[in-house]
Amino acid sequence: MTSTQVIFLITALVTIFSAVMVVGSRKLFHSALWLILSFLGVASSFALLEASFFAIVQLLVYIGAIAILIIFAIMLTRDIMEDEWQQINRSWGLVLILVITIFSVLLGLYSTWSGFQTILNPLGISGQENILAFGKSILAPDGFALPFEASSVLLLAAMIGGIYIAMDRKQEGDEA
Amino acid sequence: MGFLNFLFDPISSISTWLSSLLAGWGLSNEIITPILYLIGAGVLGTGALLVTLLLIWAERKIIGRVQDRFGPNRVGPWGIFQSVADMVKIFIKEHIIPSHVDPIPYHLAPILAVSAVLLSLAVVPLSKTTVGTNLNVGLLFIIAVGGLGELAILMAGWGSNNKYAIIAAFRATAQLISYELPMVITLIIPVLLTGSMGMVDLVEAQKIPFILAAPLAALIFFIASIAENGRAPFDLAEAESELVAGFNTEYSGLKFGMFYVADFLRAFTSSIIFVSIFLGGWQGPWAVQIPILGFVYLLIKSVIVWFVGVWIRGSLPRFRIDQMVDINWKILTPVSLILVLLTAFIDKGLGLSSIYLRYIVLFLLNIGVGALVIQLIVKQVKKTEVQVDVGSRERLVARPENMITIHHQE
Amino acid sequence: MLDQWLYIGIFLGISLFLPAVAIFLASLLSPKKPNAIKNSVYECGVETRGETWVQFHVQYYIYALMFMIFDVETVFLYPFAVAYGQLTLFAVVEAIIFVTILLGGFVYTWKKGNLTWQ
Repeated sequence: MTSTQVIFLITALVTIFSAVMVVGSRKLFHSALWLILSFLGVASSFALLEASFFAIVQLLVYIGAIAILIIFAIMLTRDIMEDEWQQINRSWGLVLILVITIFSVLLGLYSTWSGFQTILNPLGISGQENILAFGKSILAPDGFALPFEASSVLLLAAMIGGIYIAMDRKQEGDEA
Repeated sequence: MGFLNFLFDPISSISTWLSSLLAGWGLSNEIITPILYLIGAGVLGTGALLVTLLLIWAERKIIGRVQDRFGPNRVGPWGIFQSVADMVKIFIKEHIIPSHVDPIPYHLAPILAVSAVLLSLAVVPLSKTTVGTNLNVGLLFIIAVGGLGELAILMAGWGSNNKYAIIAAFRATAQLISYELPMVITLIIPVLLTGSMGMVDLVEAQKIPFILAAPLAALIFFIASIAENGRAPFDLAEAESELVAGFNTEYSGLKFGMFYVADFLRAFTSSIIFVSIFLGGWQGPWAVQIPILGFVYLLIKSVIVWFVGVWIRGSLPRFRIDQMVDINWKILTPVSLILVLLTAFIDKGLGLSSIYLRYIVLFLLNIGVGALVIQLIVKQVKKTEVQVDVGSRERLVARPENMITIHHQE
Repeated sequence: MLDQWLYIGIFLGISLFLPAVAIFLASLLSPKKPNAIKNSVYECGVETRGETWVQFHVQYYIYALMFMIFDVETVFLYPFAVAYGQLTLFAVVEAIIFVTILLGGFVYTWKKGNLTWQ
């Protein structure tokens, strides 16, 4: 095993473990913190793939904005900080067996896929050219110009929808 | 010749010497690089933390003089060892851990706060040859790392289990994320001009500093970075009269000290970043031939920018929270967005090939937009003015809608 | 490329390690004499009442939402800015349309008075 593989395994394990903890931890705020660690793990996976831009977007948008949005949202909910209910329901044993079966079947299917055996070609461009190519393709009319503009409309819809919902709540419960 | 080389460029000489030494011990390249990185990062981090001691002293002294006080003047000449004494004191102070804290966020927050500040130094080129790393997204990295600082504040506020702390933490985070926006937006302009997000490329592209092509963008960035540092006039998060001491209320001993260090160090690192992006970083006469000179230039420029920040801190009163929000969302963010669009459109539309002409056009554009914005603000302020006669019984309450200047009747 | 991220990773390690060690050393040196009053919540001498982790005003959420939307938008503009030197005027206009669509939402929020602190 090369050192890159070791690093990959560690980050992958950290990512998965913290993703499980997001669901498992009892305090909502702790879940949010685990989620951040999981984002960080994904960011390092991107970095290992030499996709710097996506690594940094993961840091900037997911940790810097979405995680904070989630924490703010946690503070908006009532009586939330800790729950005392049972987190696991009775049929967990059955579900575990089911999940393991499905997972191993999928794993078996995927392992026969030829794509894993082929050796990947290096991209050939690195550093700044990588981002340059990305920038050119999202604006090229025969490239991704339409999805690019559509994403703007999507963001607009998200913004107006979010603001509208938040506004309504404000008028109902002003004492909050 | 070798000695002269060492004098001109000590750091890369040392690193070449070290790597050849390690190679002599029979280590492979795969091990040497991490070791060198480790040493480099260790030296840079420790150095930055030690420099903080000096920064704290200097800032206290300057603020003292601004406010017509002496500032520290007992320990050593000009009180220069004051922060050393403070450090010793804070090292041996008790760590009071309140009984209801949420332990993991509470203990992790001060560490994360310092590390977020230190990390931004990793991508800044200190001279022509001394570069942490030329990450191809270095500029965004600096901003992203600022997000870790926000996280540290939230963790501190939450973990403390104290009402004041959590309210302050939320206020601080709301401020930090708000002001991150104009910062990210204005930084597009240097990237437009360079065609790269790497900090090394950015500095090398500035044969003429970018502040001449984008003075308004630089100003917006500077204001936003003061707000990001949470310093006066944007220090609402530590409004003593309202919130005890801010999000670090429940911290004591060195854990409090870490927030303090992060605060003072960030003031300086943010001025290094400002210098690297807008004032040409290490660029200057003979900086290419003699790299050590570049480092000196960088330090001199950063100290000047840092001094302006401290000066502003000493001079201006604190904004109210609604003013803080208004300045960002109603002035800085829209103006910076429009400025970016105009810069991109006009620069491309004219298609000037001469760099000087480009700079002149962009400079005029910035000044024009700036003048327009100031005019709009003045107009808005005039509209909201309320006339009050002197001697009338009418009393005005200090509320946002009464942002006024009182006119005395002649 | 990987080298650069390796440096960042090492720097992250160092920058977490230095303050952690300092705090650890200080905790060895410092006295430990806790008592109930010293360890109580600090609220200027007044005893604390009720939950700390209270419900916050929706205002904070609106700012965070606006920030997130514009952050995503700006991140899209960075590859555009890097490629700017090699783009045509048409592509620049595309980017301008991209931002203008979102500015519409910004104006909407402003007009609804959601950008004013209450």
